[in-house]
Amino acid sequence: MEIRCLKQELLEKVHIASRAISTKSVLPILSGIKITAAKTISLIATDLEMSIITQVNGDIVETGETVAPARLLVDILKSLPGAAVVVKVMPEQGSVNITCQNAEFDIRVLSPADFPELPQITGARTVALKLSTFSHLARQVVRAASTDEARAVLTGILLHFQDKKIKMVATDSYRLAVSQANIDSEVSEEEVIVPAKAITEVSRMQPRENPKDSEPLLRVAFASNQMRFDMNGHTVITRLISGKYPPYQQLIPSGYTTVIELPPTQLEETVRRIATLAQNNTPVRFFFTPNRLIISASTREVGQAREEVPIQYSGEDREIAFNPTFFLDGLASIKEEIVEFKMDSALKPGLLKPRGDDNFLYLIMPVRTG
Amino acid sequence: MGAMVFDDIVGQDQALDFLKKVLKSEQISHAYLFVGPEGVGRRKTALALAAALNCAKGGCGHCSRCRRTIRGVYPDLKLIQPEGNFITIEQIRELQGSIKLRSYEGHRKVIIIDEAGSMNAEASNALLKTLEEPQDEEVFILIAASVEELLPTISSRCQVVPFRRVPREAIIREMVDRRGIDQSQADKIARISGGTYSRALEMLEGEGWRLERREEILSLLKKISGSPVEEAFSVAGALLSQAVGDQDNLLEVQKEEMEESLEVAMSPRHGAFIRNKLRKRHARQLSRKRSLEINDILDIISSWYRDLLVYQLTAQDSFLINRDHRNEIRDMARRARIERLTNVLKEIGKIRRMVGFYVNPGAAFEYLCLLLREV
Repeated sequence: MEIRCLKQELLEKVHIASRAISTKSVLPILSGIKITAAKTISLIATDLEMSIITQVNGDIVETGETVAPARLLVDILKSLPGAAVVVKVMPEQGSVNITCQNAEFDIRVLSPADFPELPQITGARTVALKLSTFSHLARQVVRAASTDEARAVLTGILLHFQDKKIKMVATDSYRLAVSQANIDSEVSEEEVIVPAKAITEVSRMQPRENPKDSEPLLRVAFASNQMRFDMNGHTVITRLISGKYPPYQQLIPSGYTTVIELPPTQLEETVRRIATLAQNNTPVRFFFTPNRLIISASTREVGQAREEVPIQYSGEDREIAFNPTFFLDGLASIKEEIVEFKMDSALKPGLLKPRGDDNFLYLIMPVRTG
Repeated sequence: MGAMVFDDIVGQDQALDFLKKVLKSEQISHAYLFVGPEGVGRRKTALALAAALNCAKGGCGHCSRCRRTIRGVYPDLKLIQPEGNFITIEQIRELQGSIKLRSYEGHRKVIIIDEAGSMNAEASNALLKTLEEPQDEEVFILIAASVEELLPTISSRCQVVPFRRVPREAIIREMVDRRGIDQSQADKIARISGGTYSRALEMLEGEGWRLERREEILSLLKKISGSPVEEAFSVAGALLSQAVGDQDNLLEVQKEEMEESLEVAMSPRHGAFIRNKLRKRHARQLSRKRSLEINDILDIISSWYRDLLVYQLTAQDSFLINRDHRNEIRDMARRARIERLTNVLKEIGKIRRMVGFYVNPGAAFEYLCLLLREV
């Protein structure tokens, strides 16, 4: 195999591919990037959960394939001057030769035969949608997914397609984020649980060289065990999580007695300020009283903080407390002008959503206070 | 016709007939428990079953899936073995983390837990949770010496498949027909192997160093009876060096594995992670290797005293394991006392258990040799 391409192009693509490499693996072959030159030049990396395939712009002098250690490849490419790079396999030496201007590297390679085969997604159903739609939903929910491996299903994002709609759901059982959007194409109903890592990776895909008015489409293909995302010669394949997603709809209360409206930035600034005194897992308290919302926090042996926010409210006095990080995560997902903050009692979940928009909601469990 | 993957397994017709029937009926259980003595083909059968479950032709033995499964590198095959004396909860957690995902190739995920009896209580309970909520595509194969080794809550969730000792004739036939061993050598090996085919194969490995070792140990045993105390201690020393002498190969493999892994580390932190993880695994492998070798030596010793006892009771050499040494056995059996022999066999059983619990093997051998000189 021999290929020629620009250093910057190769480095960028190696960076992208290496995001699929797990630092939790001790299997040497999985820390390599497979470079294949056939009709095009592609880089492939996988941790057996998620695989990334990306195409490199360049010339193929001779077809072939090799597997090079990712970290070394990144280090070498970073150090090279911005010029053309030639990557050439030396089969007799079991190495790959990298040259750029007058610099030359010879590095030992791994065996391509040991590299896992990529899963074939055959007989798959497909959907196409705008990448921006997908990324927007992903950003809104992904923080709410659990990181606790003991609850495998919750470490994933529920991805639901139905009636020209895409919906994503994530929860770690302390908060629940649900976001949906309309898409142009008609789809059959699909419901899968996707590892959060893959959702994040897809939302980071860059539409390259796109003419301003036609956004390229993200193509999504489903098989029973895997799914595949394609855009502009960049592919992410992920295994799905098995199991049943909890019936989250039952958790969302139908009505609320207390509803206030505020600009999210104002609420966020206040909570962030007060949260500096919510240390050692103490919550931030929200006290509703006619025309005022009092936000406070106190940590024993540290101190306390309090701020009044004028609101339109005429109901009874009510109090509820939340983990400030979880609360701020939810607020950060709302970019609209006004957020609706709803609650019922100190023991029932509170809810954040944009005013007049039912496409996003963020449910958060209160913290019991003494 | 499918199920060719099972063709290499010797002397387990009953178990294989059952499994083939299961495969044909497609009524696959979520969990099987293979019970039987070490070395009779449970592991090999487990891999063959894993291949048959995922092969398009029901286990042809030739397709890519069959071959990768048999080699243990199929992505939807998880193989768990004790890395020290136990299977730990970390290993079970790691398994749970990896099987949460749907299968890589879209067929069944097969999880083989070897020496399942070595799961400690935490590991067993963690596994129980997974067995209680089986996913459609998962098949567990647990391997143990007996059903009683496992928690009843685990064994009751498994379909039990018994494996038996391989008849001596079957082992001799395999040795002669497939390996070209001559009849008398095959008979000797078949006797030593105690009805386990893998043990017989081990005897042929590495220019038969195991057979040589056996000769050395037996010659030590022949002279220990009635010897002075110093002699008993020197025999104990010789046994100990037999037990630890064969680590060089493993150490070499471990060193290579470490170097190869560190070369491709993603960052200094990843390097430290790999080093740490490998170091722990290597230490466990080493202690496991040592306890296997100690057990092997104890097997040889107990076979000798068992032969003395058997000869005293039957005066026939056809039942002997070490029949190639029948003259010495005849001589020694005449002098030995039955209660001393049974006592030795009992003590060897105790030592075997103790070695599992980190007892200093040097001290164990010394204790044993002091007993042996009185036989």
